[in-house]
Amino acid sequence: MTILDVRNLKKIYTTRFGGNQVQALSDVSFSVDPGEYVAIMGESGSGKTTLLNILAVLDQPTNGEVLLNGKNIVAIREKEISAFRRNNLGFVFQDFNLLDTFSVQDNILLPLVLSGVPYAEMTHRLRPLSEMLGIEKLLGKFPYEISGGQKQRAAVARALITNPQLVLADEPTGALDSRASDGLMTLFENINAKGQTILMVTHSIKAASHAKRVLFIKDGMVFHELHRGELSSEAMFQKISDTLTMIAAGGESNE
Amino acid sequence: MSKGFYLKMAADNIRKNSKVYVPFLISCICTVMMSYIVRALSINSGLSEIPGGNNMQMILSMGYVVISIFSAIFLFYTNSFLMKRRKREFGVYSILGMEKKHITKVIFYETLYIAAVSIFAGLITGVIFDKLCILIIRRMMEAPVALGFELSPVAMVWSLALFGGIFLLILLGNIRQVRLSNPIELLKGGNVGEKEPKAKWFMAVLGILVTGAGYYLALTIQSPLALIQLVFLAVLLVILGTYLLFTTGSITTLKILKNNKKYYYRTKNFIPVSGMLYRMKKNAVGLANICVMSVGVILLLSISISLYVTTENSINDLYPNSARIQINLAGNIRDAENQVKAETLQMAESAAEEARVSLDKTAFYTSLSIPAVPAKERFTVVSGDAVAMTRGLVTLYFIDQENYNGLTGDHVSLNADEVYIHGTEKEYEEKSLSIMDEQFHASVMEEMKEFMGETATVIGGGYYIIVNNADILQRLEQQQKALLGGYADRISTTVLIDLEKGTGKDHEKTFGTILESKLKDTDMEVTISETRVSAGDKFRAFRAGVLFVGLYLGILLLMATVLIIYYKQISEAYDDKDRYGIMRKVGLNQKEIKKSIRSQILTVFFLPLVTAGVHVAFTFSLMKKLMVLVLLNDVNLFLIYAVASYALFAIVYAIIYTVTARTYYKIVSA
Repeated sequence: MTILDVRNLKKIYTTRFGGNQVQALSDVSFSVDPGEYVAIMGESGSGKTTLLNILAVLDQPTNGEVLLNGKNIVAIREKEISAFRRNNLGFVFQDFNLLDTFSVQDNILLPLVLSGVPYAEMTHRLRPLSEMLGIEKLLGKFPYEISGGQKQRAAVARALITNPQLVLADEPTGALDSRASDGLMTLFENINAKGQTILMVTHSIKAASHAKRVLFIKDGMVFHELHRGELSSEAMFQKISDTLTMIAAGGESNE
Repeated sequence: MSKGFYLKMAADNIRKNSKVYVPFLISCICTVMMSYIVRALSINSGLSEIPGGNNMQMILSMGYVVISIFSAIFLFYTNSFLMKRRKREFGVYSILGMEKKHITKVIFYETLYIAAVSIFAGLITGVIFDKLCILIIRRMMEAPVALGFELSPVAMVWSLALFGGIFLLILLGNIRQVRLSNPIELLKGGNVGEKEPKAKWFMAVLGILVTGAGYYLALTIQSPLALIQLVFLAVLLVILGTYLLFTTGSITTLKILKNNKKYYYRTKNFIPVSGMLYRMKKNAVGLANICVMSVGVILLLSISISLYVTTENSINDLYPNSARIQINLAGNIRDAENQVKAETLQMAESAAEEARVSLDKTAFYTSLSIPAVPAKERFTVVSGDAVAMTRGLVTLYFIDQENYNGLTGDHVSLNADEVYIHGTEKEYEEKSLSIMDEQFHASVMEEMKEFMGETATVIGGGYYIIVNNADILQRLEQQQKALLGGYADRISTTVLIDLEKGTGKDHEKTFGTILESKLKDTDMEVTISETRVSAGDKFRAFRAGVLFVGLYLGILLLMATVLIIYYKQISEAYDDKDRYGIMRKVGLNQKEIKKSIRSQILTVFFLPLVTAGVHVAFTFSLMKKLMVLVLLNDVNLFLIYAVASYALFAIVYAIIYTVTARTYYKIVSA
């Protein structure tokens, strides 16, 4: 039983006046099982962001399909997309994307408000979540009053509060210092340990080394795959960096 | 870097920022044009030759001062919008290695372009519309229309100097802004985290109280002319209340809504309530400005329309007779009176003969007016120079019963120590009346004829008093002279002449001219001689002047309102763009975004309009009473004009809304 099944994704961008065509994804296929924690790595321009945008239903593929719990999200009608994303997906962004005009609490509750959840239910969900993330004291503050790490934890809370099938994270440590990054990665591991499926796109070897499985994308294709198994994150770190070196050196895929 | 580079860069900048520069340019051109036109009209030699043209030009000259001040404020305000938008751009320049002196150079050329284009285009359109205005004014004043091109070099120099100065100040202001700030600040522009506004209970309640007090005054002031200070107070209170309500009242209300969790955490309230909080924080003053200006536009429009429509009626009300002559009497009153009567009657008859018109009837009365302050059971006459500074002065019009009966056909019969009294604003309540050395028993006579006509009652209230005989008048005249010296009024005989009904205007005019020249040749002391036709001309010119300036200022205010709204929308759109981008990522669809934007824009847009409507409604009765100031007596139709003006304004406003809302969506969803 897989939760996410990506089949033969292809995406070609055409410049505005139809001149040049850029192939961002040529043929991407992989699947994610429930409770998995997958990191996708690749250099700039390898198609990571395009892939994530398609998974997030922010962009449409030129070809191929994406099945979430067996439902093809590429075929979802325009009208239902927003509701679908709210109910099934949680997002964590590099630049947090918190709204300055809302308090931390209101930022977290935003998806629930949009889905029309009653206020009593909201507080019921918010309390344990904020305790788990250690932000219960920050709820009344505003995004510009708290640190980057705190902001990202608020953003994680916002992603989790809808109990999504899948959490999509786009370079979640990109704007954080190393201590905050470590904290966040530990947090992701904890969340994952509770059964939350996570798909993370990242540049950072350190961040990726916390994942259970790492996919490498190169030139718009899944180039290589690493399973962490019983390895410590340090050993995983070594393995990932070896693989990256090999990819950079232009070697062929093994395994 | 070469000079040509900066020139080109400045031009490119304006082109690239056309969304904000085009409206600015248009407003600059319009202000230059309007300022030129008013100046040109106020010194146009052709207009001064029209009867009453001088009056109008005087009003225009005063209007010019107002317009100049207004233009300066207005252009500064719109320019500050531009600079706020472009701060980021200047930040990028300095990061890219341009020094402040280079940026200054670019700004200098930009301002130069804008100034040159707007002054040039403004003057050209000014010359064209100036001609149009002259034609309109001549038409309104019923003067012959002269064709041909008119150009006023003096007004051009004035406009050049004025707007050259304004643009120079704007340039200096912009340069100062760039010089004072560092690149990082410039880059961030307005994007620094903003504190959520706090509810200010005290100020909000104060706002309600102040507005309420203003309304109360506006509704309860009975005689605005006597209580002009109170009228000003009412206006000030309402304006102050508007600002307080917009700035603190709105935020407090929103805070109350926000604290009601069950209400706030609902899809349809969540984003609008929190969005409005910030919007009101940033725009409350702008909205209050718009509201106050809207009230101004609506009132100016309704006054102007009323004025234009009711001119003819008012002329007949103010000048019921074909001619009115007032002659001071000297020596023995009775003898002088009879002599004056005989002499003027004969003069009028011969003038009528020469002008080939016939007299319908003539009437005479002799009266004395005394300025005095009402006090308990008496009227106090202030002495000497103090009279000019005295407050609460009313005018007393004394007439003897013989003259009154002769004038009205009444049969008033009084004892020597009795008077009949009638007040124009309110009746006299005491039983006895003393003035200077005289003392009378007073009884009110409500139906007494206000023989001085309406002109006399325009400013300040007055009392008409009938005394027993002319000797009393003479005694009063002497006592008053002892007190007031040169300021004292004299006993005078007023002669009212009516020509036969159906006499043509030209004939009436000829008669007036002949009569006036005859009066000049006599040794009688003539103080007033006016004919309905010439007075009517002056009056019409005065009204046309007021009407023109009113419409003109109305249009200017409207234009300012439009532009402020436009800029507000644009700058808000840029602010909101990122926020809506985030919401879209979190799971808000295009439709929901549009809905939430619409509800916010609608509120922001129509709040001032609705408030303006409420203001107009509450101050309406006061305005109606004040209409007398511009010599408008037929106030019954004022309501219709006010409603029509409001409707007209609302339509224009709605059009602006539609246009700006579209621009807003475009920016936000880009």
